[in-house]
Parts: sequence; structure tokens; C-alpha cells
Amino acid sequence: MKKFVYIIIGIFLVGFQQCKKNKTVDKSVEIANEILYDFPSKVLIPNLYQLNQEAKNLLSSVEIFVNKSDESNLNTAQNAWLKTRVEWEKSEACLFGPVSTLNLDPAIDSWPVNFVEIDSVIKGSISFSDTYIDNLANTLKGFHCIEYMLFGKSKSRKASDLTTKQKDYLVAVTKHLNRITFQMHHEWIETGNNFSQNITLAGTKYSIYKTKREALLEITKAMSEIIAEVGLSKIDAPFAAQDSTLEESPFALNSWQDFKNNILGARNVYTSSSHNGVQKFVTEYNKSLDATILQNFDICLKSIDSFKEPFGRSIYSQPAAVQSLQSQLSALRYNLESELVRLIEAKIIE
Amino acid sequence: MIKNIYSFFVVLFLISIIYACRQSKPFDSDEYNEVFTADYHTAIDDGAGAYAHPLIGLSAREEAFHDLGDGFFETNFVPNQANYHASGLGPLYNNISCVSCHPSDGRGKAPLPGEVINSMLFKLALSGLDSKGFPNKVPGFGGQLQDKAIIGSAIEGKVDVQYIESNFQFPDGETVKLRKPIYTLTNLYQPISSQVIVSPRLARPVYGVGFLESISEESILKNVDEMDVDGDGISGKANYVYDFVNNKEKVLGRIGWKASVANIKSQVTRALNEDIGITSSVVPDEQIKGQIQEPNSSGIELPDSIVDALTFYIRTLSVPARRDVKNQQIIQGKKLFSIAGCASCHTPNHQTEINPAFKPLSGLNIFPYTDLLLHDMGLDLADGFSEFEAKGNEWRTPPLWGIGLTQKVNGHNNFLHDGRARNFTEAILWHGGEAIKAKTKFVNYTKNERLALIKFLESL
Ligand code: HEC
Ligand code: HEC
Repeated sequence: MKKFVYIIIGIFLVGFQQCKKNKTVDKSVEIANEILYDFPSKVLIPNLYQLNQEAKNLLSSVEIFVNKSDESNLNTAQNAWLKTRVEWEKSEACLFGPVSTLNLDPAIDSWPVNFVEIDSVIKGSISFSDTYIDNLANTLKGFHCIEYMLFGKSKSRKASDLTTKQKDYLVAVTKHLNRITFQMHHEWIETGNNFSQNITLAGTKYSIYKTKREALLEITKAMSEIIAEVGLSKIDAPFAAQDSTLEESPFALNSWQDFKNNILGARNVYTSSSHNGVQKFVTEYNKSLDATILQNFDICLKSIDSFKEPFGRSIYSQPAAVQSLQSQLSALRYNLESELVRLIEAKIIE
Repeated sequence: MIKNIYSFFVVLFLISIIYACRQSKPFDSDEYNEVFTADYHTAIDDGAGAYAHPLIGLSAREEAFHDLGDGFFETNFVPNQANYHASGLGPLYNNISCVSCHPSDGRGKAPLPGEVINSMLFKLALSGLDSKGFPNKVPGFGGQLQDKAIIGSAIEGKVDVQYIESNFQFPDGETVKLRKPIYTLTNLYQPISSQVIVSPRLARPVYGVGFLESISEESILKNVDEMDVDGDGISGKANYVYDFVNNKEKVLGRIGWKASVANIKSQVTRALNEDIGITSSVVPDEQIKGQIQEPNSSGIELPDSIVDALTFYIRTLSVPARRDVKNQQIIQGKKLFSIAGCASCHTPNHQTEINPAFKPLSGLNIFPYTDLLLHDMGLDLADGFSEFEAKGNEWRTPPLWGIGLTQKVNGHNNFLHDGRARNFTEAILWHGGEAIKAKTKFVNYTKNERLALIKFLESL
């Protein structure tokens, strides 16, 4: 029975495709064009540039800490890690293109930290060359490995805890993080591998996106994908299992911030204050959807701010609040993944 | 009764749509069907996430089970680590998670010379088969080269990849560069038999396999023509394999580049074991048990519930819709695909078996573009590696559904079992053996015809 409903919906969709006319470039394509034009240069590339800058800064603070291991230098390095993390989590609202096809995401953001093997590596006699680190499994490097070295379990790290060999490793994996964040930026910029062109020139032979609509949908779906990821995976896994060992960022107790920055990243793709964001499209065709989306972004962000304890404790102490955040996220996801996607599909006919 | 009412509406809608848009071409029901590659489950998504959609109409419980499997598909395994749900990696392995070889549920990428090999693996054998039909194992190495190990264990070895480039020229003068890989085993932890046969395997996409598992045996076997009685130069032979999940002999093989695996659960438990070094109740011993890296048994590392969730996840992954089926060039390309004889092996259409036990996959009309049979593909593609009935020059026709989105989802177009082809044209040009006629037709098409055929493949 359901099947027939779907078939009918399908026929409708196909049927409407039939009705397209060859209009001259219409308004919807024009707006899409403006959004696509701004997306690389005003949203993602600045984000990736900043990510790489913060990673550089992290490396220099780590090197300073390694030279002089006092609490103040450790603290500076920890803060630099947190700032790098902000930019990365924001960029997770755009996980398509090179970051995904070149496996750059798993190279720096894999979980869990493989303590057992990191210990073996550090105890071993091999020196940590770039190639050596590049070839290590992803669970032995990246953000969470650095996080563990800098913060220890549940932020318990003391400056004097780390051995010389551990510090060498810390420097080596931080350099690796720098190489990858550099590449992420390089893949998008015009003077690099110029993936941007796929977005700005969507619909031409210079792009893997055959139409503007395809490219706009890619951006939109990436936005809804990260909202789903926060609600369904990052929050849900530890919460549903009531098991804080499944938490993503337990060393720095930074999970709430991570979630918040994911959402801020998506909101930045959406909003149109400083550039032509996806919002521009929505305000043109469905003002009330725009209002709902903005409101739901706000609600989710405020909910996260209202938690007083780290995520790993909130799942036990405030289960009702965690659950209601999950429903808020899923409402936002519905706005983006269903309503907004449908709006784009209905309005851009090429 | 309900069915009839719906059919009535379907017809009514069709008529009204045709009527409403008289300025467009008449509705072509054939083309309409083909948008829906996987019947009502078809995922309407042509973006980076196109391969990752679950079937439609799963119950809430089933959806949760699918999501659990999804989680484990993406989970990184680590060596024994207390209190962690995905522990037991290695000691030898090829990669640390399913998704690392099957990114976005898609296809692996062939390594360039000097690159670390991540989403490809190498099967090993000595000539001949054992009593169950598995390839004979290589002493000290087993059936697959594990090129990674947890710290403290010795890898079995590595593979050095080189490509020999050659030029191909079409009758109209257009040239294409082809590359043929050459593999050399290096860094071996102990000497290996000089008789070793190496079979390269690129990680295949994992979407849609549930449908392939559900096609009725009859529907597959009707295309078998081992003696080529119909004289079209294409025989098509079924692989009959040992199903180690149910301990049954001579089960129709459907999965993998040589159709050497009978069902998804076998593929999953074998991947866990051989690719990641994780034991389960189905395959309770590490593949390398008895080698110096693993003298004794390590016990069962992954519970049945998780194995079942992974299996269910794969079974319930859908397939993206076709695109642009109305485009004239693509319609022409589809005809040329048939005329060249591609469709004799890449058979477009199948039905899944009626299965009251799992309704979502029961009685569907699907367009996978494969006969799931083995074909001699000629010397250039041959690896000399036998598995059950599959000989060293035989490969299973791979499904082509969703293949047009490879570039977008995985960022490359590496096709064929070793990923040597870098685009559709190269993939076709490597076809030999039973496919030589089809290839020759393609070669003799005009430039525009070739382009139309490629556009058709891109629309899949
Ligand atoms: C080291 C890389 C690697 C890893 C890790 C890996 N696979 Fe695979 N996978 C492959 C290769 C290569 C093939 C093709 C195998 C063949 O032809 O024999 C394949 C085939 C498959 C297929 C069959 C696809 C088809 O169309 O025939 C499925 C399903 C699958 N893998 C699931 C999994 C699951 C589930 C996991 C995790 C438990 C996993 N794989 C881990 C490399 C890998
Ligand atoms: C005799 C059967 C046969 C015929 C005829 C045939 N193919 Fe194939 N095709 C295969 C087999 C078997 C493979 C896998 C070969 C390998 O991986 O080494 C394959 C692979 C492919 C692939 C790559 C699929 C992948 O997953 O990597 C494409 C694309 C393809 N064929 C297109 C075509 C086209 C187009 C034609 C007609 C010009 C054609 N084939 C004719 C059997 C056939």
C-alpha cells in the first residue's frame, strides 16, 4: 500500500519534470548563482584559511610548551587546540568535495584514540618523520590524539606529565594536523586545486555539477547532514547507550562546544548577513520557512548554552533536556532536509 | 481492491499529466520506469550522499537496527582496549574500518605508484582449489596479503604498484591513454612461494547489494549459456560457492568481483576477519592463526548482534535514481548500449523474489545492469586466480546502477576490478574475451555515438 503512495508521488515528480519549459534564465537560477558565487570565497575558504591559521598557531604553542613545559604554556597550547577545533567543527557543515573524497576528514578527526598503540609507538625507537606519521592509522593521530596529549583524561593533564618522547610525538602529530588543514584550504583555492570552480561554475563543463540546482542542493544537504549528525550520532550514541565512553571529545570536555560550532557552521552557510547565503533563496520564495529555520537554529543554540555540565555528565544528570535538544535538532533537520530541499527542487527548473 | 483503486489513480494521473503539459513530448512509460532503479526504494539524490540511503518503509525498529549497523560500518576498530565496543583490531589487517575502504558506501580508489594502499586489497593463492572450492592458501600468508599491522606485529608485506601506459587510437583518430598495473610484493616478512598468484581487488560499492541478494535464482540462471548455444559469443556461467555461514556446498555465488560469495552475511564476516582482523562466531579464528603474528586463537571479538546489524545495514542500503532519462542524447546512448551488446551481460532489469519474511525487498522491479554471471574477459584483465567455478580469466558482470555518480561521491572514476580504468571509455576499452564484439562495436562507433553511450553510463 505504501508502495503505491510512493509510486504516485514519483509519478507526480516525473510528471512535473515533463512540464518544464525552456524559460530564459529565471530569477531562481539567478539567486542560486549568487549563492554559489559567494559560497567558496565568502563562506568555506575563509573558514578553511582560519582553520589552517589556528593549526599553525597550535603548532607554535605546542613547540613553546615542549621547550618550556610549565602550566602556563600548557594552558596556551590547550586554548590554541580549542580555537583550532572551533574552525574545524564549523567547516563540518560542508563535508563534501575534497575533504570527503580525499579522506581528509578521517585523517584528522578519527575516533576513538588508540591509546594502546600510541603508547607502543612512543615506547618504540623509531623517529617520528612526516612519512611515518602519515602512514600511521588514523586513530593514532589527529585532533583527538592531540587533545588527549594536551588535556589528559577529563582535563587532568599537568605540564610535567609528559615525557620527552611523548612531547616529540605531540609535535609530530600537530605537524600532521597542519599538513592536512593546509591541504584542505589548498584544495579549494583558485591558486590551488580550485575545487571552488565546481561550485561557482556549476552547470558548465568546468564543474562536476551538471546544474546550479545540483550544486545548491549539495550545499544544502551538507548543512542538514551535520545537523542530523549532531542529533542522531554525536549526541545519540552516548545518550541512548547511557555510556559517556562513546563521547567524541571527552578529554577537553569540549563536546558541547563542538556541537554548537557544528550548528554555527551550518547557520553561517545559511544566513545572508555578510554574503549571499542559502537564506536569500528562502526569503524570496517562502518567508515563513525562513523564519522557522532561523528560529530553530536559535532554539538549538540556546538549548546547548543552557547546559551547565559537560556533555558526558549531562546525559546522566539532565536526560530530559538532552532529549528535548534532540527533538529541536530533528525539527531543524526537517526544515533543511525536507522543506528547504523541496523548495529548491520546486523552484529551480533548469 | 486497494491496488485497483491505486492503479486507477495512477492511470488518471498519467493522463492528466500528459494532458496538462501537451507542449512536451508524450510520456514514455519505459523511460519513466528506469528513473526508479530500485523500485519504490529509489533514492532521489544525486549528491555526495547518494549511496547512503536506507530502504523506504522500514519499521522504526528496523531503522534503528540499520542505524546501528551504519554506526559500526563507520566505526574505527582499535586493538584490545577495555570498555570499548569495537576492539580487537588485527594483529594484521588491511584497514581499520569498513568505511575507510568503502567511503560514503562507494568505491575504493586505485593507488598511484608510491601511494599507501588503502581501499584495495590483494588476494593470494597457490594454484588449485581445496576440497570446498576455496583457492589453496599460501603457507605463512593465508589467502590475502595483510599490509598493515598493529604496532609490534610484523606486516606480511606490501605491494609496489606501477603502471605501464599505452596509447589506443580509435578509427577516427581520437587517442586515449590506457594504463595496466604491475604489482610486486615487497617487504615480505618471510619468503613467499614463487608460485604465488596475486589477485588485486578494488573495494566495490556496497549499496544495492541487498537487492542483488534477493533476485530469484531462476531469474539469474535463465541467462546462463555456458556452451554459447545461442552463438552470440557470450556464454555466462554461474559461480557455485561454499556458503560458510550456513555450511552449505554449491550455493549460487553473487557477491564480489568473481561472485565468490553467496550472501551478505558471508561477505561481512569475511571482511571483518580478513580485512580488519576481527573474529566473529561465523569466522572464529584470525585468518593468520598459526603464523608467528598470531600463534593462538584470540577468541570471538564481535558479538552476533553487531554482525547482524552490519549485515542488515548492507542489505537495506538503497540505490540512487537515474538522471536525465529524457535527454535525447542519453536515450540514443541507451540504444547504442543495447546495439553494442553491452546489455547481454549488463542485463538491465531483474525482479526480486517474493519474500514474505522481509517485505521491503520482496517482489521488486529493479534495474541493476548485471546478469551476476561470470564471463571470460580476456587476457588483459585476467589475474590467473580461481575461486570455485570462476577461472583466472573470468569476472562477474558488475552492476552499473549508480555508477554515474562515482565522480561526485568518491571523487574519481576508477573502474574495473583493479581500478586501472580512469573513466568509462578506458573501462570499455579493456573489455576482451566474450566482450570483444561489444568493445569492437564501441570502437567503431562515431565520436558522437561514443559520447552518447558514455552520457548514458553517466546517467546511471
Ligand atoms: C581493506 C579494504 C576493505 C575493508 C576494510 C572492507 N572491505 Fe568490503 N570490499 C573490499 C573489496 C576489495 C571488495 C571486493 C571483494 C572481492 O571481489 O572479492 C569488497 C566487497 C564488499 C561487499 C560486496 C560488494 C559487491 O558488490 O560485491 C560488501 C557488501 C562489503 N565489501 C562490505 C564490507 C563491510 C561490511 C566491511 C566492514 C566489516 C568491509 N566491507 C570492509 C574491501 C574492503
Ligand atoms: C561479456 C560480458 C560483458 C559485456 C558484453 C560487456 N561487459 Fe562491461 N563488464 C563485464 C565484466 C565481467 C566487467 C568487470 C571486469 C573487471 O573488473 O575486470 C565489466 C565492467 C564494466 C564496467 C566497469 C564497472 C565497474 O564497476 O568497475 C563498465 C562501465 C562496463 N563494464 C560497461 C560496459 C559497456 C558500456 C559495454 C558495451 C560496450 C560492456 N560493458 C559490455 C562484462 C561485460
